[in-house]
Amino acid sequence: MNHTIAARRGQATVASILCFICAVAAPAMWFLLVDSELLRSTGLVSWLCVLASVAFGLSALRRDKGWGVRLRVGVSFVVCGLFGTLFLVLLALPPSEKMAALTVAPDFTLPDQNGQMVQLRDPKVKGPTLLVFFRGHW
Amino acid sequence: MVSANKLAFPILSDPKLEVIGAYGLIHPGAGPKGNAIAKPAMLLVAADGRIVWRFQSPRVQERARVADILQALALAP
Repeated sequence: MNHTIAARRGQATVASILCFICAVAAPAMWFLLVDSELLRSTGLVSWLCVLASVAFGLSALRRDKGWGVRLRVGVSFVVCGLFGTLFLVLLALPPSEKMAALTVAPDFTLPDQNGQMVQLRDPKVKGPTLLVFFRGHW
Repeated sequence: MVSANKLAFPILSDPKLEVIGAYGLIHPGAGPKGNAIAKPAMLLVAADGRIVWRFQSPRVQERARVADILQALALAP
């Protein structure tokens, strides 16, 4: 019986360490994959890390409720919670009412990468124009 | 950036955020040095100046899907 308890404790320790690694991997993977449009906007790989962390954590706690396991799993779940809060809440953007209310695009003239002035409603341009506001890297 | 990525469209510079402000898209403090930058958004402007399609990102990391943009372009006057 001692052998079984020791084995369960060992498994719980491994699972709780994997739980922590997956929790820390969630935000790390998001930053590493930030150049992939799909992965950046959905956070897909990161959410899979969160799921894995939760699975390992629950598995560890089932096998051993000692303070070492609880501490590692607890810290891991806090990290997962912080990532979820960051991703869903802190990065949320309240919509611009001014933008939503515009019916006609305000005309403007700005320099391009060569210093040439470019006008939005250039009479020489016949078709529609796609105007993209971007922040820098992405 | 334009030559490195062989872009077929111009990239314009709005350092005083005058145009960004005219479109209501200033995002205060979001830049790398705590400076204001633009909220991510896209508009499809018809030749007569009417806005026929627009997208505002609900979260900083999201952008309009290419399929949606192409569909808007196909329907544009």
